[in-house]
Amino acid sequence: MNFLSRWLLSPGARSKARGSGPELNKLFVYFLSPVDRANLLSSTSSSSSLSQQEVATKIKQTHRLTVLLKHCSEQLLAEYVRHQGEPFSSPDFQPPAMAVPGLPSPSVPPEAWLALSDGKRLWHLAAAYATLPGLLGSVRRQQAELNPLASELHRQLEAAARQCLGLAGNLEGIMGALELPGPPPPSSSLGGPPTSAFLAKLTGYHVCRLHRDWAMRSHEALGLLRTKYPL
Amino acid sequence: MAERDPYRAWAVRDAEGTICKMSSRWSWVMNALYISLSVCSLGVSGGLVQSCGYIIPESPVLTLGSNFTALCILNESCLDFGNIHANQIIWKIKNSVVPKEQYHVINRTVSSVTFSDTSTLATPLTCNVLADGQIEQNIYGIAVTLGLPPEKPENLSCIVHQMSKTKFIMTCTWNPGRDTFLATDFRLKSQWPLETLPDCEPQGVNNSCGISNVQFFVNLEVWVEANNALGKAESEHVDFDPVDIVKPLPPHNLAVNSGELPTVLKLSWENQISLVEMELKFNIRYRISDSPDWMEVPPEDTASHRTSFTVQSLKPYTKYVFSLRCMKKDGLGYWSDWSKEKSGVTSEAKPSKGPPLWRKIGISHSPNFWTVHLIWKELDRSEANGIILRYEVTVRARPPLSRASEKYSVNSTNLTLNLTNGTYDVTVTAHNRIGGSPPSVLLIPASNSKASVKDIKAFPKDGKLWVEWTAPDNSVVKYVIEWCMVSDSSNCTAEWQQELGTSQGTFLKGDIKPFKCYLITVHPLYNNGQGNGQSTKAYLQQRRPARGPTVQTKKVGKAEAVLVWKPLSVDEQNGFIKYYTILYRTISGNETAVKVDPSKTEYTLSSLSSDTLYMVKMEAHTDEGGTSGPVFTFTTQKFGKGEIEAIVVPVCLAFLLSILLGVLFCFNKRDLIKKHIWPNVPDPSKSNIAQWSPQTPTKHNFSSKDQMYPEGSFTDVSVVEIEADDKKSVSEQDLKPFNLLKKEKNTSEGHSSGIGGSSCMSSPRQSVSDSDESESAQNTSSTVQYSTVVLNGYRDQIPSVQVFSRSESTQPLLDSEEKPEDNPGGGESAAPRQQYFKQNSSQDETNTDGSYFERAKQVTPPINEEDLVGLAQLQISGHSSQLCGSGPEKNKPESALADAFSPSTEGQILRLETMGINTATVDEIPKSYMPQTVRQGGYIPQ
Repeated sequence: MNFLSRWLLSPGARSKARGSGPELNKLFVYFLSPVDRANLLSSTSSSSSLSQQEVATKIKQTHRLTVLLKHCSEQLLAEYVRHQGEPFSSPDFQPPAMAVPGLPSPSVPPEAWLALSDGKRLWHLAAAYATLPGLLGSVRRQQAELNPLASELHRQLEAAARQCLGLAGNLEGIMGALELPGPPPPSSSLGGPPTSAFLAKLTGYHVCRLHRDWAMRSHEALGLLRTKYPL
Repeated sequence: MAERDPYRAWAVRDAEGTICKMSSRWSWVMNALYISLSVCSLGVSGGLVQSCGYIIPESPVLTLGSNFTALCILNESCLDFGNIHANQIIWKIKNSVVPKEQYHVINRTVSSVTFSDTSTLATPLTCNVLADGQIEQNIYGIAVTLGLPPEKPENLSCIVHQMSKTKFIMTCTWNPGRDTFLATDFRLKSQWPLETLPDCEPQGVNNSCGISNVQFFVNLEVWVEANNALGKAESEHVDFDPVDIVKPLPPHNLAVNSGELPTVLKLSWENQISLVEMELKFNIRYRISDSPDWMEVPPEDTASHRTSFTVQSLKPYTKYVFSLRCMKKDGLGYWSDWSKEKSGVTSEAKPSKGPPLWRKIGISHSPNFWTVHLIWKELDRSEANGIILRYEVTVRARPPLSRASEKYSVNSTNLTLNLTNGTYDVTVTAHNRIGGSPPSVLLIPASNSKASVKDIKAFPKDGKLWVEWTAPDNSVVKYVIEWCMVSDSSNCTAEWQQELGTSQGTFLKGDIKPFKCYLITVHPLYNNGQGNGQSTKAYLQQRRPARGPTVQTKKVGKAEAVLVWKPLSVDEQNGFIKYYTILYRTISGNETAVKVDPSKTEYTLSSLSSDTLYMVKMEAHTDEGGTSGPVFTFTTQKFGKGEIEAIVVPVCLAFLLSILLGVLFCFNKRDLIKKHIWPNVPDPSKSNIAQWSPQTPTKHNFSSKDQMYPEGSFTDVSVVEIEADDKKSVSEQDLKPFNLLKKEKNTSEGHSSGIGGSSCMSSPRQSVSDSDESESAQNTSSTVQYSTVVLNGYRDQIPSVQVFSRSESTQPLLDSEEKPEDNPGGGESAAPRQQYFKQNSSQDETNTDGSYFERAKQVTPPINEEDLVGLAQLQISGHSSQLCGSGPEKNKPESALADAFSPSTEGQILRLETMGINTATVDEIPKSYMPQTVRQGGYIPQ
């Protein structure tokens, strides 16, 4: 029950994160054209430890990571579903989207997402990937109990957690180089053990699905960013 | 206090495995026992187990080479009890006392010891006191551990090995630096920009570590930390994205498929690393399956990520082997290993060339026909481009022959045709599944009027036989090289090969055997004919001949020998015979070698020694050495050709000449000779005495000479007187007074006695035999002693007693009686005398006459002793037979002659010598008719 109550609270938390005015204002400065921002970046590069070349390299590297992440997250979701039994493994299993406590969901529609500024997108990503590793780690622990023999799933969950952690670091590096403000520290993880196996699987499912969604978002975001910072 | 119990402390030290250098376990136990005893004796006040002191620091770990100070602190209780002072403390390392200069007494209870270099330290370091006089008591001991702080690990490098599709292991290696002698902990640390990752602890090694959780696209910072009791060191930090140091697995499931074209093969494979992780570039290598040499597809053609590739420019119908490897497309990281090899065969194509074509024209039964054997070779695999199914042969006659062209389809590689005399064009094409080859053309029979090649040479090169030639001026379409092995046992069965018209040399393709002679012929073929073949001989490899020539003599002379031999057969030669060596020697002499040109079969050895055994053998030499044949022995001749004739002919001529001269001489002096040799002997039967003798002896056969001298009868007066006297006045025929006779006898006694001597010596037997030959008519039926002459010795010599014998006639002899018939009787004794005479005369310069033979000897060429002797005998016999009819007598006439010509002192000497010899016969005088009177009469007192 505790888990569920946290779950239900999450939309509010999400709206709070999105609706914070001062943060948005702070980001307005980055709603400029890439060229302007490049100028801006070059003007502020004295404070940055990375050169533009290094930033571009970093962006490219992170983009490659998002490609990998996207690929792996899809695999992970499929692998996860495969091991959970009915009803998860049925082809038409499409449970309604459910918020995971502490994890922002990519609620912005794809078009709007692309319309967001780079800074905004990075901010969202940073916030999500600050939380995902912990959530994936929790799922890994739950699956170790629920499906102790699903070693490939365990490996993928571990890899996903590691990838997310790496991506979070890379994002932070980019944001630092671009002098973008970072997100607040992650608020929560999955918390205590769920009361039932089904709920645990369901939560895990949503974590994996959100992980995949965020991977797609990050892939798009870094793809865009990469075009703006060509090597 | 319990912590400072030395026993416990030591046990702990030992358990820690520090570098406790106790010499043995036993000594350690003894030491511990001793300590515990000392503790008991001193620590009475503190209970059963109480230490009297302790050392600070306890169990230190020290850096080698640093300085170190230890303190020994005595307990107050002990001080009280044993009245001990710190200046009584003695420090010991193991069992040796530390010099007192290193001590320092701080106060009554504390003594320190200082070591400037810890490398002199060893374990244990003990603190002892001299208690109760000189008894040494152990207070406490510590173990000292020596070592070094870790060095900074160097050369840290990492590589990510792909273990499977999803598993990667990053292995980092570094140089751990010097040995620290201590337990040193190495850790591979790593961190992300925001995240510190778990350390990697090496397992069993100190210079590498493997991390299995490798995250690509996130920069990783790694470094190594080394840690031990003396310090800590950290390597340089290395920062990289693990995706840039990957050694991927090679592509797998390689498949090779032949394409539409006969020159391409399509490869396809699976990459084992995901495209989302990295893009790859490739290296593709391939080789013809039976060749070890790899070819490589240009790397720029395979620099992009792919799972297939089409390899071009391959040979048709050829099996190729492929393998490939990959690495990250941008060149970062490492190449994978080569993949497993996979082979494929290109599809067939038309044969690229016509088969090499040649002919042999055989003898036909009819003069108007040829039997032509067409022969051609199978195409190389690389030229056949598939499986040859058949050959098509076209024979087309050239004008003036009007014969329709004929076509043959054959499966073999030869065709025999019977053709009428003429010129033909022959073409051969090879066909496989795809099509036919370009035709090979040959003109039959090619008129050999065209230019031939020049300067053909053949020699071994690179283990094969190389033929080269100078091309004729005209353009040659191709060359045919024929060759065969020259052998005694088999015919020269020609093999052949064809070369391009542009080539000027080729290796013989075939089974060329070493040590065999090959006859190689090069025919140039032109568009319209062919040139004469030029030949040469060659060996692939030479060696010594199988055997040497068998040498023997054809003729042997005194100083030369003509040797002959048979040349070696081709099979025995094993190479080109460069020269022969004739080796000859006598049994004891050195060997002489003569080089002989190989074209010769005869050689004359000269300057040989005569009459000598020679051993001769012969070696045949190739470039690789020689083999000698059997030894032949021969003996040179003693005389050269014509040498005997050269000796014999002059000798014979000289001999004849001397005989001729002798005869002439004899003829001139026949009167004198007659007087000496066969004087008239008076016939006693006609004497007066005979007339008064009643018993006249039987008639004798008187010679005419006797009759010619009838005046002998007037000697009757003297006969009576001489009877008891010397009757041997030989030379005096004329009647003389007796005293005159005696005088004459005195002067010429030797001469007389010489004759008489020989007479005396004569045996009756000889007399008989010789008397037959004698021309004197004194034929006596029996021999009786006629007289004995006893001579006084001259000076000291004993005169010989000469016994004269004659017929049994009792008549007194006439003074003129001569006994030539007696002389032969003395032959045996005369021979030694004669020899003596010869020797004497040769030694005596004064005897010029006697040197006759010596001169003869000198005149004679000194051939050898035997010759000379033989020659001398020859001369002697010649003389004797001619002059006297009896050998041994020969001397007598000469001496007589000598006497006659020069009756000088020489003659006397000779005579005396002879007499000396005759003395030996004196005692042997057998029976005498008138012994007593003559002997004792002293009638001859000279």
